[in-house]
Amino acid sequence: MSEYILFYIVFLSQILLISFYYPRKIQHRIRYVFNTYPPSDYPKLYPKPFTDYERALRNYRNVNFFIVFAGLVILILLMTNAHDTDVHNAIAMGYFFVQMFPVLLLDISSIKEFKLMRNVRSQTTRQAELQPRRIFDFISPRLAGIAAITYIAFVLLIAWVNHFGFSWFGGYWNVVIVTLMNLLFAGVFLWHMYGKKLNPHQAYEDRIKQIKTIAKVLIYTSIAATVFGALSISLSALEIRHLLPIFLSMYFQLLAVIGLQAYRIDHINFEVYKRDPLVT
Amino acid sequence: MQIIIDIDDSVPLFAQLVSQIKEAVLSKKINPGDGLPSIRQLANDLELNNKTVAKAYRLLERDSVIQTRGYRGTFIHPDARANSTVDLNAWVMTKLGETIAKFRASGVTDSEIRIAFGNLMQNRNN
Repeated sequence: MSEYILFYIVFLSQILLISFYYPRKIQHRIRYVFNTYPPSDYPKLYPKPFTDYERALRNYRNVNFFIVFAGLVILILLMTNAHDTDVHNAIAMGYFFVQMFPVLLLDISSIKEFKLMRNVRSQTTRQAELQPRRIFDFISPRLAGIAAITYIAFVLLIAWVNHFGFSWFGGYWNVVIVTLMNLLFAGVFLWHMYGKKLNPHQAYEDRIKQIKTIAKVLIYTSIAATVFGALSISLSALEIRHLLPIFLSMYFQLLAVIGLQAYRIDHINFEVYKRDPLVT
Repeated sequence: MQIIIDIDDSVPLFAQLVSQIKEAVLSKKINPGDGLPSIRQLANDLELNNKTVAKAYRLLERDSVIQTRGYRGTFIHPDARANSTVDLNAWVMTKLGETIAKFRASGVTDSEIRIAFGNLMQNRNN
Protein backbone atom coordinates (compact mmCIF):
# COMPACT_ATOMS: atom_id res chain seq x y z
CA MET A 1 0.00 0.00 0.00
CA SER A 2 2.79 2.41 0.93
CA GLU A 3 4.37 2.00 -2.53
CA TYR A 4 1.08 3.09 -4.10
CA ILE A 5 1.05 6.25 -1.97
CA LEU A 6 4.67 6.86 -2.93
CA PHE A 7 3.75 6.40 -6.60
CA TYR A 8 0.93 8.95 -6.29
CA ILE A 9 3.33 11.47 -4.77
CA VAL A 10 5.95 10.85 -7.51
CA PHE A 11 3.27 10.97 -10.23
CA LEU A 12 1.99 14.28 -8.84
CA SER A 13 5.56 15.54 -9.03
CA GLN A 14 5.72 14.32 -12.68
CA ILE A 15 2.54 16.26 -13.49
CA LEU A 16 3.70 19.47 -11.86
CA LEU A 17 7.36 19.37 -12.89
CA ILE A 18 6.92 18.56 -16.58
CA SER A 19 3.61 20.29 -17.33
CA PHE A 20 3.58 23.20 -14.89
CA TYR A 21 7.03 24.18 -13.61
CA TYR A 22 9.08 23.69 -16.80
CA PRO A 23 6.50 25.16 -19.20
CA ARG A 24 6.37 28.21 -16.92
CA LYS A 25 10.15 28.49 -17.08
CA ILE A 26 10.07 28.20 -20.88
CA GLN A 27 7.26 30.80 -21.07
CA HIS A 28 9.27 33.17 -18.89
CA ARG A 29 12.28 32.75 -21.14
CA ILE A 30 10.19 33.41 -24.27
CA ARG A 31 8.57 36.43 -22.61
CA TYR A 32 12.02 37.70 -21.65
CA VAL A 33 13.12 37.43 -25.30
CA PHE A 34 9.97 39.27 -26.46
CA ASN A 35 10.60 42.11 -24.01
CA THR A 36 14.38 42.40 -24.33
CA TYR A 37 14.62 41.85 -28.09
CA PRO A 38 11.46 43.46 -29.53
CA PRO A 39 10.52 43.20 -33.24
CA SER A 40 11.24 46.91 -33.75
CA ASP A 41 14.96 46.39 -32.98
CA TYR A 42 15.38 42.72 -33.89
CA PRO A 43 13.17 42.20 -36.95
CA LYS A 44 15.02 39.11 -38.20
CA LEU A 45 13.93 37.24 -35.09
CA TYR A 46 10.27 37.59 -36.05
CA PRO A 47 9.59 36.61 -39.68
CA LYS A 48 5.86 36.44 -38.84
CA PRO A 49 3.58 39.14 -37.39
CA PHE A 50 4.25 39.51 -33.66
CA THR A 51 0.63 38.69 -32.78
CA ASP A 52 1.24 35.15 -34.11
CA TYR A 53 3.96 34.64 -31.48
CA GLU A 54 1.73 35.94 -28.72
CA ARG A 55 -1.00 33.54 -29.83
CA ALA A 56 1.43 30.60 -30.01
CA LEU A 57 2.64 31.36 -26.47
CA ARG A 58 -0.97 31.49 -25.24
CA ASN A 59 -1.70 28.14 -26.95
CA TYR A 60 1.39 26.59 -25.37
CA ARG A 61 0.28 27.75 -21.92
CA ASN A 62 -3.31 26.53 -22.46
CA VAL A 63 -2.25 23.09 -23.74
CA ASN A 64 -0.03 22.62 -20.69
CA PHE A 65 -2.78 23.81 -18.40
CA PHE A 66 -5.14 21.24 -19.94
CA ILE A 67 -2.50 18.50 -19.52
CA VAL A 68 -2.03 19.41 -15.83
CA PHE A 69 -5.80 19.29 -15.34
CA ALA A 70 -6.06 15.91 -17.11
CA GLY A 71 -3.15 14.60 -15.03
CA LEU A 72 -4.82 15.60 -11.77
CA VAL A 73 -8.06 13.91 -12.87
CA ILE A 74 -6.10 10.74 -13.74
CA LEU A 75 -4.36 10.87 -10.36
CA ILE A 76 -7.68 11.13 -8.50
CA LEU A 77 -9.09 8.23 -10.57
CA LEU A 78 -6.00 6.14 -9.77
CA MET A 79 -6.24 6.88 -6.09
CA THR A 80 -9.90 5.91 -5.97
CA ASN A 81 -9.83 2.90 -8.32
CA ALA A 82 -6.80 1.08 -9.72
CA HIS A 83 -4.08 -0.48 -7.59
CA ASP A 84 -2.11 -2.35 -10.17
CA THR A 85 1.56 -2.09 -11.16
CA ASP A 86 0.89 -2.55 -14.90
CA VAL A 87 -1.82 0.12 -14.88
CA HIS A 88 0.48 2.52 -13.01
CA ASN A 89 3.29 1.79 -15.47
CA ALA A 90 1.03 2.40 -18.46
CA ILE A 91 -0.35 5.61 -16.96
CA ALA A 92 3.09 7.04 -16.10
CA MET A 93 4.41 6.23 -19.58
CA GLY A 94 1.30 7.24 -21.57
CA TYR A 95 0.95 10.48 -19.63
CA PHE A 96 4.62 11.30 -20.19
CA PHE A 97 4.12 11.03 -23.96
CA VAL A 98 1.13 13.38 -23.68
CA GLN A 99 3.31 15.77 -21.65
CA MET A 100 5.91 15.74 -24.42
CA PHE A 101 3.31 16.84 -27.00
CA PRO A 102 3.72 20.63 -26.34
CA VAL A 103 7.53 20.21 -26.48
CA LEU A 104 7.15 18.49 -29.85
CA LEU A 105 4.91 21.38 -31.03
CA LEU A 106 7.54 23.84 -29.83
CA ASP A 107 10.28 22.06 -31.79
CA ILE A 108 8.17 21.79 -34.96
CA SER A 109 7.27 25.50 -34.77
CA SER A 110 10.99 26.36 -34.35
CA ILE A 111 11.85 24.42 -37.52
CA LYS A 112 9.05 26.22 -39.41
CA GLU A 113 10.30 29.52 -38.03
CA PHE A 114 13.83 28.89 -39.30
CA LYS A 115 12.44 27.98 -42.72
CA LEU A 116 10.58 31.29 -42.82
CA MET A 117 13.77 33.11 -41.78
CA ARG A 118 15.63 31.50 -44.68
CA ASN A 119 12.86 32.42 -47.14
CA VAL A 120 12.72 36.11 -46.17
CA ARG A 121 16.51 36.53 -45.94
CA SER A 122 17.76 39.23 -48.29
CA GLN A 123 21.50 38.63 -47.80
CA THR A 124 23.30 37.02 -50.74
CA THR A 125 26.44 36.19 -48.76
CA ARG A 126 27.02 32.94 -46.88
CA GLN A 127 29.64 32.52 -44.16
CA ALA A 128 31.41 29.50 -42.75
CA GLU A 129 34.36 28.83 -40.50
CA LEU A 130 37.24 27.02 -42.18
CA GLN A 131 37.58 24.70 -39.22
CA PRO A 132 36.76 21.01 -39.05
CA ARG A 133 34.27 19.94 -36.41
CA ARG A 134 35.20 16.72 -34.66
CA ILE A 135 33.23 14.59 -32.21
CA PHE A 136 35.53 15.22 -29.24
CA ASP A 137 35.26 19.00 -29.73
CA PHE A 138 31.74 18.58 -28.35
CA ILE A 139 31.81 15.54 -26.09
CA SER A 140 34.34 15.13 -23.31
CA PRO A 141 36.19 11.80 -23.60
CA ARG A 142 35.33 11.11 -19.96
CA LEU A 143 31.58 11.46 -20.58
CA ALA A 144 31.82 9.31 -23.72
CA GLY A 145 33.74 6.73 -21.64
CA ILE A 146 31.03 6.71 -18.96
CA ALA A 147 28.37 6.19 -21.63
CA ALA A 148 30.38 3.35 -23.18
CA ILE A 149 30.97 1.66 -19.78
CA THR A 150 27.25 1.99 -18.97
CA TYR A 151 26.37 0.33 -22.26
CA ILE A 152 28.89 -2.50 -21.78
CA ALA A 153 27.68 -3.04 -18.20
CA PHE A 154 24.12 -3.24 -19.52
CA VAL A 155 25.08 -5.87 -22.12
CA LEU A 156 26.88 -7.90 -19.42
CA LEU A 157 23.84 -7.65 -17.14
CA ILE A 158 21.59 -8.91 -19.93
CA ALA A 159 23.98 -11.80 -20.63
CA TRP A 160 24.02 -12.69 -16.93
CA VAL A 161 20.24 -12.43 -16.37
CA ASN A 162 19.71 -14.48 -19.54
CA HIS A 163 21.16 -17.55 -17.75
CA PHE A 164 18.26 -17.64 -15.28
CA GLY A 165 15.64 -18.18 -17.98
CA PHE A 166 12.98 -15.84 -16.50
CA SER A 167 9.71 -16.14 -18.40
CA TRP A 168 9.19 -12.35 -18.44
CA PHE A 169 12.72 -11.59 -19.67
CA GLY A 170 13.10 -10.29 -23.21
CA GLY A 171 16.70 -11.54 -23.51
CA TYR A 172 18.96 -9.89 -26.04
CA TRP A 173 16.10 -7.84 -27.46
CA ASN A 174 16.92 -5.45 -24.61
CA VAL A 175 20.41 -5.01 -26.08
CA VAL A 176 18.94 -4.51 -29.57
CA ILE A 177 16.59 -1.79 -28.30
CA VAL A 178 19.29 0.07 -26.35
CA THR A 179 21.70 -0.24 -29.31
CA LEU A 180 19.08 1.15 -31.72
CA MET A 181 18.40 4.03 -29.31
CA ASN A 182 22.12 4.84 -29.15
CA LEU A 183 22.42 4.64 -32.95
CA LEU A 184 19.48 7.01 -33.27
CA PHE A 185 21.14 9.42 -30.82
CA ALA A 186 24.42 9.16 -32.73
CA GLY A 187 22.55 9.97 -35.96
CA VAL A 188 20.86 13.01 -34.37
CA PHE A 189 24.22 14.22 -33.05
CA LEU A 190 25.98 13.80 -36.42
CA TRP A 191 23.09 15.56 -38.14
CA HIS A 192 23.50 18.53 -35.81
CA MET A 193 27.30 18.50 -36.17
CA TYR A 194 27.58 18.20 -39.95
CA GLY A 195 24.06 18.89 -41.19
CA LYS A 196 22.53 22.02 -42.65
CA LYS A 197 22.34 25.05 -40.42
CA LEU A 198 18.64 25.44 -39.63
CA ASN A 199 18.78 29.00 -38.32
CA PRO A 200 20.26 31.15 -41.13
CA HIS A 201 21.20 33.99 -38.76
CA GLN A 202 22.81 31.90 -36.02
CA ALA A 203 26.34 33.01 -35.06
CA TYR A 204 29.03 30.33 -35.41
CA GLU A 205 29.89 30.44 -31.68
CA ASP A 206 26.21 29.93 -30.84
CA ARG A 207 26.06 26.96 -33.14
CA ILE A 208 29.06 25.39 -31.46
CA LYS A 209 27.49 25.94 -28.03
CA GLN A 210 24.20 24.50 -29.29
CA ILE A 211 25.89 21.35 -30.65
CA LYS A 212 27.70 20.94 -27.30
CA THR A 213 24.41 21.23 -25.42
CA ILE A 214 22.68 18.74 -27.71
CA ALA A 215 25.60 16.31 -27.37
CA LYS A 216 25.39 16.52 -23.58
CA VAL A 217 21.60 16.08 -23.57
CA LEU A 218 21.87 13.03 -25.84
CA ILE A 219 24.67 11.40 -23.84
CA TYR A 220 22.96 11.99 -20.48
CA THR A 221 19.70 10.66 -21.93
CA SER A 222 21.50 7.59 -23.27
CA ILE A 223 23.10 6.91 -19.86
CA ALA A 224 19.81 7.52 -18.04
CA ALA A 225 17.87 5.24 -20.41
CA THR A 226 20.46 2.46 -20.13
CA VAL A 227 20.58 2.71 -16.32
CA PHE A 228 16.80 2.70 -16.19
CA GLY A 229 16.67 -0.38 -18.45
CA ALA A 230 19.09 -2.16 -16.11
CA LEU A 231 17.13 -1.00 -13.08
CA SER A 232 13.78 -2.23 -14.40
CA ILE A 233 15.28 -5.67 -15.19
CA SER A 234 16.90 -5.80 -11.74
CA LEU A 235 13.62 -4.87 -10.01
CA SER A 236 11.81 -7.64 -11.88
CA ALA A 237 14.58 -10.17 -11.14
CA LEU A 238 14.51 -9.25 -7.44
CA GLU A 239 10.71 -9.61 -7.48
CA ILE A 240 10.11 -6.00 -6.41
CA ARG A 241 8.60 -5.00 -9.73
CA HIS A 242 5.75 -3.20 -7.94
CA LEU A 243 8.28 -0.37 -7.34
CA LEU A 244 8.82 0.05 -11.09
CA PRO A 245 6.11 2.75 -11.65
CA ILE A 246 7.81 4.94 -9.03
CA PHE A 247 11.19 4.65 -10.76
CA LEU A 248 9.57 5.05 -14.19
CA SER A 249 7.97 8.33 -13.18
CA MET A 250 11.22 9.53 -11.58
CA TYR A 251 13.09 8.53 -14.75
CA PHE A 252 10.74 10.64 -16.92
CA GLN A 253 11.28 13.60 -14.62
CA LEU A 254 15.02 13.13 -14.93
CA LEU A 255 14.66 13.12 -18.74
CA ALA A 256 12.72 16.39 -18.52
CA VAL A 257 15.43 17.97 -16.34
CA ILE A 258 18.09 16.87 -18.87
CA GLY A 259 15.97 17.95 -21.86
CA LEU A 260 15.36 21.47 -20.56
CA GLN A 261 19.07 22.20 -21.02
CA ALA A 262 18.36 22.37 -24.78
CA TYR A 263 16.10 25.40 -24.23
CA ARG A 264 18.65 27.70 -22.64
CA ILE A 265 18.81 31.25 -23.98
CA ASP A 266 21.56 32.76 -21.85
CA HIS A 267 24.29 31.94 -24.39
CA ILE A 268 22.50 33.19 -27.51
CA ASN A 269 23.88 36.16 -29.42
CA PHE A 270 20.76 38.12 -30.37
CA GLU A 271 22.71 40.85 -32.17
CA VAL A 272 22.54 38.76 -35.37
CA TYR A 273 18.78 39.40 -35.52
CA LYS A 274 19.16 43.18 -35.77
CA ARG A 275 18.22 45.01 -38.94
CA ASP A 276 20.88 44.99 -41.71
CA PRO A 277 22.66 48.35 -42.03
CA LEU A 278 21.37 50.38 -44.98
CA VAL A 279 23.65 50.34 -48.03
CA THR A 280 24.25 53.88 -49.27
CA MET B 1 39.25 31.80 -40.40
CA GLN B 2 36.01 32.70 -42.11
CA ILE B 3 34.96 32.00 -45.69
CA ILE B 4 32.42 34.36 -47.25
CA ILE B 5 30.67 33.37 -50.45
CA ASP B 6 28.45 35.70 -52.47
CA ILE B 7 25.88 33.70 -54.39
CA ASP B 8 25.08 36.69 -56.63
CA ASP B 9 28.72 37.28 -57.61
CA SER B 10 29.63 36.65 -61.26
CA VAL B 11 32.67 34.62 -60.11
CA PRO B 12 31.68 30.93 -59.90
CA LEU B 13 31.13 29.68 -56.35
CA PHE B 14 33.89 27.04 -56.54
CA ALA B 15 36.35 29.72 -57.78
CA GLN B 16 35.43 31.99 -54.83
CA LEU B 17 36.19 29.10 -52.50
CA VAL B 18 39.51 28.28 -54.18
CA SER B 19 40.72 31.87 -54.17
CA GLN B 20 39.70 32.49 -50.53
CA ILE B 21 41.45 29.34 -49.29
CA LYS B 22 44.58 30.31 -51.24
CA GLU B 23 44.41 33.84 -49.82
CA ALA B 24 44.05 32.43 -46.31
CA VAL B 25 47.16 30.31 -46.86
CA LEU B 26 49.15 33.23 -48.23
CA SER B 27 48.09 35.57 -45.41
CA LYS B 28 49.04 32.82 -42.89
CA LYS B 29 45.52 32.67 -41.48
CA ILE B 30 45.78 28.91 -42.00
CA ASN B 31 49.05 27.02 -41.87
CA PRO B 32 50.47 23.86 -43.44
CA GLY B 33 49.11 20.83 -41.58
CA ASP B 34 45.92 22.58 -40.41
CA GLY B 35 42.75 20.58 -40.87
CA LEU B 36 39.98 21.68 -43.21
CA PRO B 37 36.28 20.94 -42.80
CA SER B 38 34.86 17.97 -44.66
CA ILE B 39 33.15 18.62 -48.00
CA ARG B 40 29.77 17.92 -46.44
CA GLN B 41 30.36 20.21 -43.47
CA LEU B 42 31.51 23.15 -45.58
CA ALA B 43 28.77 22.64 -48.17
CA ASN B 44 26.09 22.57 -45.47
CA ASP B 45 27.52 25.58 -43.64
CA LEU B 46 27.66 27.63 -46.85
CA GLU B 47 24.33 26.19 -48.08
CA LEU B 48 26.03 25.03 -51.28
CA ASN B 49 25.85 21.80 -53.24
CA ASN B 50 28.38 19.15 -52.12
CA LYS B 51 29.63 18.97 -55.73
CA THR B 52 30.60 22.67 -55.68
CA VAL B 53 32.81 22.25 -52.61
CA ALA B 54 34.15 18.92 -53.94
CA LYS B 55 35.18 20.68 -57.18
CA ALA B 56 36.97 23.44 -55.23
CA TYR B 57 38.77 20.84 -53.09
CA ARG B 58 39.73 18.84 -56.22
CA LEU B 59 41.28 21.92 -57.82
CA LEU B 60 43.12 22.82 -54.60
CA GLU B 61 44.41 19.26 -54.34
CA ARG B 62 45.57 19.38 -57.96
CA ASP B 63 47.47 22.59 -57.16
CA SER B 64 48.97 20.91 -54.04
CA VAL B 65 47.41 23.50 -51.76
CA ILE B 66 45.55 20.85 -49.80
CA GLN B 67 45.98 17.11 -49.37
CA THR B 68 43.51 14.39 -48.43
CA ARG B 69 44.73 11.81 -45.93
CA GLY B 70 42.08 9.10 -46.31
CA TYR B 71 39.55 8.93 -43.50
CA ARG B 72 41.55 11.36 -41.35
CA GLY B 73 40.35 14.26 -43.48
CA THR B 74 41.71 17.10 -45.55
CA PHE B 75 44.72 19.18 -44.53
CA ILE B 76 46.73 22.12 -45.81
CA HIS B 77 49.65 20.87 -47.91
CA PRO B 78 53.19 21.38 -46.48
CA ASP B 79 54.12 23.38 -49.63
CA ALA B 80 50.78 25.17 -49.80
CA ARG B 81 52.24 28.65 -49.40
CA ALA B 82 54.50 28.34 -52.43
CA ASN B 83 51.84 26.53 -54.45
CA SER B 84 49.14 29.09 -53.70
CA THR B 85 50.96 31.69 -55.77
CA VAL B 86 50.76 29.49 -58.87
CA ASP B 87 47.65 30.29 -60.85
CA LEU B 88 47.21 27.53 -63.41
CA ASN B 89 44.28 29.33 -65.01
CA ALA B 90 46.34 32.44 -65.66
CA TRP B 91 49.20 30.27 -66.96
CA VAL B 92 46.89 28.46 -69.43
CA MET B 93 45.48 31.77 -70.62
CA THR B 94 48.96 33.21 -71.19
CA LYS B 95 50.24 30.14 -73.07
CA LEU B 96 47.11 29.82 -75.22
CA GLY B 97 47.20 33.57 -75.93
CA GLU B 98 50.81 33.31 -77.13
CA THR B 99 50.04 30.27 -79.33
CA ILE B 100 46.95 31.88 -80.86
CA ALA B 101 48.91 35.05 -81.57
CA LYS B 102 51.54 32.93 -83.43
CA PHE B 103 48.83 31.18 -85.51
CA ARG B 104 47.22 34.49 -86.44
CA ALA B 105 50.61 35.92 -87.43
CA SER B 106 51.04 32.90 -89.72
CA GLY B 107 47.65 33.59 -91.36
CA VAL B 108 45.54 30.92 -89.69
CA THR B 109 41.93 32.09 -89.35
CA ASP B 110 40.03 32.12 -86.02
CA SER B 111 37.57 29.48 -87.24
CA GLU B 112 40.45 27.17 -88.24
CA ILE B 113 41.97 27.63 -84.79
CA ARG B 114 38.61 26.89 -83.14
CA ILE B 115 38.04 23.74 -85.23
CA ALA B 116 41.57 22.48 -84.61
CA PHE B 117 41.32 23.20 -80.91
CA GLY B 118 37.93 21.48 -80.73
CA ASN B 119 39.24 18.41 -82.59
CA LEU B 120 42.29 18.13 -80.36
CA MET B 121 40.22 18.42 -77.20
CA GLN B 122 37.77 15.84 -78.56
CA ASN B 123 40.59 13.41 -79.40
CA ARG B 124 41.98 13.82 -75.91
CA ASN B 125 38.60 13.15 -74.37
CA ASN B 126 38.10 10.09 -76.58
